[in-house]
Amino acid sequence: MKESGAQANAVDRHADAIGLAHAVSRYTVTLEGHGFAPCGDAERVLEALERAQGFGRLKGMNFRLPKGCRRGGCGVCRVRVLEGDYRQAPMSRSHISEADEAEGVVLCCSIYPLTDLLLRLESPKSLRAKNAQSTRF
Amino acid sequence: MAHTGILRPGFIQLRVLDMPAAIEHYTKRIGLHQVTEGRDGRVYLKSADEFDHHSFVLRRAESAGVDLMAFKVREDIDLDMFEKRVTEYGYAVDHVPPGEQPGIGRRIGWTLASGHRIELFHHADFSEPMPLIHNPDVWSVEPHGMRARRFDHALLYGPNIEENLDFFEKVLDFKCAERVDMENGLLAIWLTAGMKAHDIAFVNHPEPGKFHHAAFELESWNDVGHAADIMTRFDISIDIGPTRHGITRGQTIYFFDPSGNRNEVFSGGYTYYPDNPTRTWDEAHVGKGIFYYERELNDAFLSVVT
Ligand code: FES
Ligand SMILES: [Fe+2]
Repeated sequence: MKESGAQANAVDRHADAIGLAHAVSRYTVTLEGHGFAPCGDAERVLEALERAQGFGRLKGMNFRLPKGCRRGGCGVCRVRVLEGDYRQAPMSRSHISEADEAEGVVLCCSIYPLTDLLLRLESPKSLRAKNAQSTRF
Repeated sequence: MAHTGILRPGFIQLRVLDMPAAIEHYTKRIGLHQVTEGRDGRVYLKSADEFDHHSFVLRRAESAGVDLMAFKVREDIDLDMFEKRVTEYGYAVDHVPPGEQPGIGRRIGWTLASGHRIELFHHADFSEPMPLIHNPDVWSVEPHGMRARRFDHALLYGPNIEENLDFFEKVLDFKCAERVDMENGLLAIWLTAGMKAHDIAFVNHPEPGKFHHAAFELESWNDVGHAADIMTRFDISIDIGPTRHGITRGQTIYFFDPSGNRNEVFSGGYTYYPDNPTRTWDEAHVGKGIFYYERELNDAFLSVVT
């Protein structure tokens, strides 16, 4: 179940315009095998995970979460949503195909939880390989 | 007149995922003005401190990144001269009719070995707001947001930048102000058509046609600090800074627009004269070259592009 990016942005803009931190619902975003992060309904999942990692709450990760644009353009934060609903902001089609989207593969900087979520990092190896490949030394 | 041929960057066209969010970012936050919206939905922006019709173009698309960057030439006949030289170099040149972008005359364009489209044009209408000309006050409309004074340069990522260097020097009469050489080859080049330390730069990267950042010039280091305050207040995603580049010496912040395209605001940088030698950086010092205070590259510098 996904809301469109336009709706998501309209909600953000409205909340900002009326200057309210609107009544926040908090959900639990679980990163399969590594722990969980509390995440508000107006918060980008990647940012909640980055904060949890900063507090040392994500265990057994021998790599840092990919740090990218946090705005759906660069593609470094691909995850697979195994359980739960979310709304999504626009994501670049160069990184998330329609088939990906149908399977719940998303850019986690551009989703906001509507329920608790269970996520799997979409092959962190390939992410590291991707980084290693473009890092030429 | 000393400055002939290519004068400066004219405009860049970026792809954005959400047009209303992009317009809000570039006008309210960066401080540009919307000049007009084209029939095809492209949005044309400028700084109030620029004379020409526009310097920044937004196109709604399914993926972020750069469509093209265009440079302004001094005379209309320069377009014919450059067409001949580019063609002789071996690149296919195409023609864009006047008015394809509002306020802009005929353009010529081609694709670089790095996969990027470059265009040249001569004519641009003036548009409001623009600097005053007679008894000019320092501005005509009060600067707002980050108070960007101009679209200044872009950094693009792609393969074959050795060929880009050769092409820009031999065909477009650019000079290489600075370069980074790693043990396994050329990593990056900063190229200038005038007296700024750079108008366009390239980093070697396996994927062609990628976009690293488009930069806006600010008046002062104080304005860089003010821009940082705006980024925090409005929850703009920051990559790094405020800091300084060793290369070009600009005082800078890298951040992202709402589609994940990287922006830069910066002030300062040295003056480059065409007789100056190329400044060079090696692998042991490249960190300081890119981020002078951190003295190391962050994870995102070489890997996060659109
Ligand atoms: S961090 Fe760039 S797409 Fe998510
Ligand atoms: Fe720059």
